Parts: sequence; structure tokens; C-alpha cells
Amino acid sequence: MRRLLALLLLAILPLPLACTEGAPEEIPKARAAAPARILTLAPSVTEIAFALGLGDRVVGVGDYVLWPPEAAGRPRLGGLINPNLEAMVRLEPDLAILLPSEEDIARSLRRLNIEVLTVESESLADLEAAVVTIGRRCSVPARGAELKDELHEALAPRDDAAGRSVMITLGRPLGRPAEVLVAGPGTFYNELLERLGAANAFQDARALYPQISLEQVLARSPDVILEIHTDEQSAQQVAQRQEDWAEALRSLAALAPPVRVISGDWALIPGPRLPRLYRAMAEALAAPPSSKPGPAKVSP
Amino acid sequence: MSASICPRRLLLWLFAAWFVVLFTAPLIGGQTLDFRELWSGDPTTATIFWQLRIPRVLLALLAGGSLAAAGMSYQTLFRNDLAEPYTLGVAVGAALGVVIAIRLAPAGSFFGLSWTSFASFLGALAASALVFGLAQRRRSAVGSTLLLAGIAVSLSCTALILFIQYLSDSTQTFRMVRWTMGGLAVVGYREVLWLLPWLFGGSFVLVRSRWELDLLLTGEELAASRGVDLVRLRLTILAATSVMVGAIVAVAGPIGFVGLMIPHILRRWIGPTHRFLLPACLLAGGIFLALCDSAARVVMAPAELPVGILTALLGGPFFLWLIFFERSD
Amino acid sequence: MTTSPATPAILEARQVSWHSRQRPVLGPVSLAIRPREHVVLIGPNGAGKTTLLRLLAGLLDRQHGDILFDGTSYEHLDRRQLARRIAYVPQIRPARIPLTVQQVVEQGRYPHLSSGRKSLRLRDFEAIEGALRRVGLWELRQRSVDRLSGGERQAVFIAAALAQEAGVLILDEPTTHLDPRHKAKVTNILLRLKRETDTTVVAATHELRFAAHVADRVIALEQGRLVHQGEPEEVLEPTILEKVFGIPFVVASPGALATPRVELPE
Repeated sequence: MRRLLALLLLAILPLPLACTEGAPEEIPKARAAAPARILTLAPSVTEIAFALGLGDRVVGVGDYVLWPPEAAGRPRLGGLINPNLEAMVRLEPDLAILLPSEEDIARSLRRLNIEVLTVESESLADLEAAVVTIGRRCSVPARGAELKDELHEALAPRDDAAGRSVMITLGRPLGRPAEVLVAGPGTFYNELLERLGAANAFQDARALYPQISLEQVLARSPDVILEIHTDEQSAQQVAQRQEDWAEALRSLAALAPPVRVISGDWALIPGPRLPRLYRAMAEALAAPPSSKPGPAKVSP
Repeated sequence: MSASICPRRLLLWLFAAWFVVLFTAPLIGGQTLDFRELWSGDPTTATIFWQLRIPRVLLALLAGGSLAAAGMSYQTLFRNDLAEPYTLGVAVGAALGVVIAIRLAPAGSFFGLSWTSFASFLGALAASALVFGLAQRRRSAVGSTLLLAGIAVSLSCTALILFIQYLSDSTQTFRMVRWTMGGLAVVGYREVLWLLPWLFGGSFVLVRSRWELDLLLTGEELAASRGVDLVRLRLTILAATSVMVGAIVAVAGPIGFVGLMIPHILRRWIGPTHRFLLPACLLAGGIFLALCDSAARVVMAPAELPVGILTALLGGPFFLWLIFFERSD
Repeated sequence: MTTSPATPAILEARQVSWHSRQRPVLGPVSLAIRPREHVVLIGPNGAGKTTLLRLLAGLLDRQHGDILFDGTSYEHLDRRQLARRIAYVPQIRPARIPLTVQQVVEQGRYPHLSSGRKSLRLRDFEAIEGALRRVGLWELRQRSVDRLSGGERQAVFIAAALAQEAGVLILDEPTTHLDPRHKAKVTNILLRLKRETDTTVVAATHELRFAAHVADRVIALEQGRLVHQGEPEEVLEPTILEKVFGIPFVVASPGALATPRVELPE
């Protein structure tokens, strides 16, 4: 028992040490000066920074950044799984703009005395707020407000798809669909659907992007199936995808919702190119249900 | 199976190697550091060296050593070469704790411990208590029953981890996935300092139990007849190792197979007496993990491979080799 | 059942019984063993010999009755204190013991180490050397136990028990699975102990020849009960053995020497 006691005593030792934790982290050094060397890891944040005209000041970006082309040429700093702290330190940045999912990276950077600005970008309101916040911190508040208004206007509610139930699947591989990843509630896709007057067929899902089976698709019988892909889909691939669904659903029930495909590297990023996705969705969902697979591939 | 190298000399070599690794491994990385720049006081190089690489190598040295010592203790305690924190479900239990903590993500701390660390301890303790309890119910063949109980606990915890990941949003899932791969990237010395008392405390208890562990080598019944309180010994060692493993998992995630490979190799070199084996494990486990981590920084440069993946890649084949080819001698 | 001994008993069991979850295994049994006495338990498999030995060694918790060492109940002795008084050599041991002879014998000193400082002193090394020499393993002390023959291995564990310097030595089937030469070796070790030391020995065996050689008193167990006891000549005789083991025996007793030879017919 004496051993256990000794162990317990040792266990108390780190307490004072741990108690100090957080204190230096939570008070980032207030630096009034406009940051000159900025790190952005997430594609959405990077796109916002470039849209605000801060592109010249962005010195390094995350592995997943594809757009704009100038950003794609910046030094790479790893992804969420394998952030490269050393590479970040080498760039001697004075500001890192991160998402809440990058909290672990943020903590490390703060300890290295690098200022971190955290913005959210899951909802449309988040996006507008992020634009304003970044604009303010980087001394371009006017441009920030302007971009915010632009976005607000471009994403204004319309009723192209009024009353239709829509299922959005993301990155579905070719072939007969057995299980698919769908956009659930709380996602920006859900919000975009609402603004178009449509209803998300999986509004009540428990996860943001739940994996669902074909059975569920039948149960919900959506009016439209909308596939979203990062990779540009050829007309042939689009036809193939429509054929996949037709076959899967025909064999099980007399359900034949039109299948629309939207593709492009902008289609999965909740950034300043969302209006483009919004327009594409409006166009894809606007066609009357009776019409044959119309303009399946939308490229505004 | 007796010692083929003078144990004292080997310990001395390991001790020297430990320090050599501490000061050379930090120079290795995606980009090799230039000593002259460090010397001339270039702030960026200094930050990388002192704030990123030295703490990281220190963490590897401490964590690796403790994992090896914990594995060694389990192998002796349960008379099974395949027992280690990972196979007995202790590391996975701690991982489950952390995943739950990430999912529920309560802000702040609990008695000075961050929630993730606290959950990690709790998970490690709960898993070892469960494994121990299950094995205790069936007194016969403690070793193999225990390993089976460990595997069952491991699988259940893994399933729960996957379930929780499924329920979580992508942000949390990413953190969990990253964290379950095991990684040693730290900034500054806070984690290292935080780990020290736990690891020292646990190692101290193990060192004090070295005689009892030796006695177990000739069988539990003989050990008991010589005056060893077996139940107390098991509880003491499980408590000490749970604390060590829980602390390591809280900081670095579950890193597997160090506790399997290192004690096994060292046993062939310096024999099974714990007086020598335990310090050798503490030193060599650390050296091994630090070298693995250095390799993990280099092989995919500029990207970094999480070290848990590398040790698992080495450990899997070793595990198989142990099962199928080792028995022959 | 026990005849009250002239000298006070060093080990005494009073109405001790033990049962496993499924069935009663032993007792109630009463038994008194005098200092320096060599007692051998015989009986068929499952008669409760090992259970009785383990109870006497303090490795099992009795469910009824009491066991005393030199008048002190085991309840008042902790494991370590018990280990300084009673040494045990079990029959079943791990298949592989990766230690040297000396390392195993050193373990016999464990109950004498103070719990804080756990290193061997000169006194300990003397006991270890004495034990190794007594069983004739001093020259082989650096040898790995796994490289020894079965008989030598048995001798190593007897040496470890001797190094424990307990007054009582309990042996479970010390000659089983050994070839005749090694049986003789182990028997000789025990005979030397009787001649040269004050050790009290309690052994269990189904080797009746061994029992006849080393025992002062033979105790026959059957179905957990103590059915016969007495000098070897009294117990190791055909009618009793036939009752205990359930098969006929022939006893050849050459001359007046009290060492009956026990053989199975055909």
C-alpha cells in the first residue's frame, strides 16, 4: 500500500505544472500591425484570403489548397493529419488563419509565439463572419465588408427548387450505389438547399455527413438526387452515374428521381466561390421533374 | 538463453547511446539543421532546434523507454511473450478515453489535468482492471486467458472508437484519426515535463518490484511460497504501468509494439533478470522510438509519417515472427 | 486420529478441510508433525496429497479448521514470515525457466531480504553456496536451468528451498518423471538432509520405494481422508496398500532391514 501512496503523491506533483497550462495560450499577443506573412492551411480560408486581396502576404498554404493558381504555388505545410510545424516556423509568419478543426495546430503555433486567428466556415453565416474577421485583422476591413455584402447578395434566397426534396451525395464512386455519403443537417449544403426552397431528404440525420444505405434512399424517396464531385466529370461519366442510379432504383422500386451531377474543385469548398455552387445547384434543381436528364453538367 | 553480453557493460553502452541520440537525433529532419546557423544564433533555426526537435526527441526517449518497461512487466507478470500495452488493450483503452474526451470536448480541466489526459488515464486503468478482472475470474492458465481478455477488450474498445468517430463531425473525427496514429510532435517542454513524474513514478515502482518479477520467472506458486503477495504484486504493477501508458497515450497517442520488440531483443542480449533488463528496456526503448521518429521525419520529407504507423509497420511482422518461428529454440 | 507426540509439533493441522467449487477435496484432516521428522504422504491420484501440502505451505486458504506452526496459527503469520519458516518445492513448474542455477537458488533468499533494500549480503551468499554444495550443484551454478536434466533441475529447486533456510521443507512428488539414476540422486539428497540437518520434511509421492527410503512416518490418504499412518513397515504392507490403491501388492522384505520393497505383481 505504501507504494500506491507514493504513486499517488507523485500523481499530485504535476498539478502545479498543469495548472499553469492555458494561461499563456489564451492571451495571444495583441499585435496591432497588419500581418505581413500569413499562413492559411484550409482551402476555404486560403480562398478567402486571396479574395480579400491578401494573396501576396500568404507565404504558405496547406496540402489541399488547389485554388487560386497563385496559392497552389506557395510552399506546402502539410494537411490536417500531418502538419509540418518546422516548415511553418521556417516561413517566419506573423499570423496563421486556421479553422476550429485545426485547434491542435493552433495550440502549437501559439506556443511558438505565432499569432493565430481562428475562423469557422461550416455555415453561410460563418463564411460571412470569417470574411469580415479576416478583413479586419489584416487591415482591409473595407474589402472585407464589401466581399461579405457580395456573398450575401449572391447567396440570397430564391425559390428555384421550391418544395422539392433533394438528396446530396458527395464523391460517390462509380458503380452501383450501395452506400453513399450524404450531406446532413448543419452543413452548408443543407443551408443552400433551404435557400433554394428545397428540403434536404436527410435533414434529420445524426451526423454532418452520414453514410447511408440504398434502403434509406428508397425510404426517403427524394425528388432529386444531386451528386457533387471535386473532379471534373465528363459527359460520359455523368451518363454513367445516372445509369447507376436508374439501375439501382429500378430493381427495387418504381422510383426514378432525376440525377444531377455538379463537379468542380469549388463544389466542396465553403469559401468565396460558394455563389458558383449556389447557381449550379439552382440550375440543376430548377428543371421540372418530368423533363429528361437535362443540363446535367452545369458549368456557369 | 543466458546472458551472452556482460549486462553491466551493455547498460553502460545503452546509457551512452541514449545521450548520443538525444543530441544527434534533433539534427535530423525534413531539413537537416546547419550547426553553424544554430551556433550563430539564427532565431528560426534555434526555435526549430530547441522548441521542436529537442522536446520531440526527449519525448520519444521517455515514452519509448516506458512503453518497453511496461511491456516487459506484462510479459513477466502474465508469462506471455506477446503481452504488451497494445495487445493487452491498455493502450487502446486509453485511446478510447481520449476519443470520448474529444467527442464530448468539455472545456477546461479536471483537477489540473486536461480532460484528454484524465480520460486517457481512466481508459488505461479501466482496460487493465477489466482485463485483470476477467482473467482473475478464471484462475487457471492466467497467461493465455489474460491475453485473450486483452484482445477482447482491445477489439471492443476499437469498435467503440470507430462508433464514436462515426457519430462525430468531421472536425472531431480528423483529430481522433490523427491522434490514434500516434505522433510525437510537440512544441516546447510542457508535455515532457508533464510526463516526467508519471513515468518516473511508474518506473520507480517497477524498479522496486524487480525481485518479485524475477521470482515470477520460476512460476507463481514458487513465488507465492517465497512470500510474494501475488494479488498485490499484480495490482501494483498494473497500476504503475497503467499510469505510465495512460500518460504516454494522452500525449503521443497509442504507439504499439515498442513494448513487444524491445524487451524481447534485450532478453536475448542480457538475460531475463529484471535488475538489468528493466534499466536496459528504459534506455533501449527510448533509443528505438527516437530513431523510429527520426526515420519517420525523413522518409516522406517534407511530410512527416506518424511514428505510430512506423512502429506498427515494424511490429506486425515481428509479432508474426515471434508466434511462428521463435518457439523453436 | 493422531497419536499425541512426545515433543511439541512443529506443524499441526487441526480438522482442516478444503473443497473446490465442484467437490470436497480434503478433510477434515488432523495431523501433527514433529521437528526433524520426515513424513511422506502416499495415496492414489486425487487423494488430496497436493492439496494438503499446499495448505501446509500456506498457499491455499483453508475453509475449515486451523493450521499452526510451532503453536502459532497461520492467521497470525504473513506470507513473508511463513516463507522464512516453510519452503515449498512444487511439482508443476514453468516449462522454460530462463535463469541460471545460481539465479534460481538466490530466489530462496527473498523472504530474508528487507523490503526496502533488496540486495544480497554475505550472509545470503553463504546460504546459497551451502545449499548448492549440499545438492552437488556448486560446479554447475552458472549453467542455464533449461540445459539441465530433469533430476538436476529438481535438485536446483530443492537447493533454492534449502537456501530459504526454513525449518520445514515441503516437497510435492520430488521423484516423479525422473529416471532411476535421478530418482536415486534426489533420494540421496533427502537422506543427507536427514543425516546432516535439522530440517523437517513433508513430501508427497506415489513412489512407494521412495517413501520407504526416506520416511520416518508414512501417511496414507484416500479420498481426502487420512486412512493410515505409521512407520514405513507398518503402512507399506500389502493389505493396507491394496485398500488404498485398489490393486494387490507384493512386499519383499530382505532381511531385518526396515526397507520394504514394494512391487506390482506381473
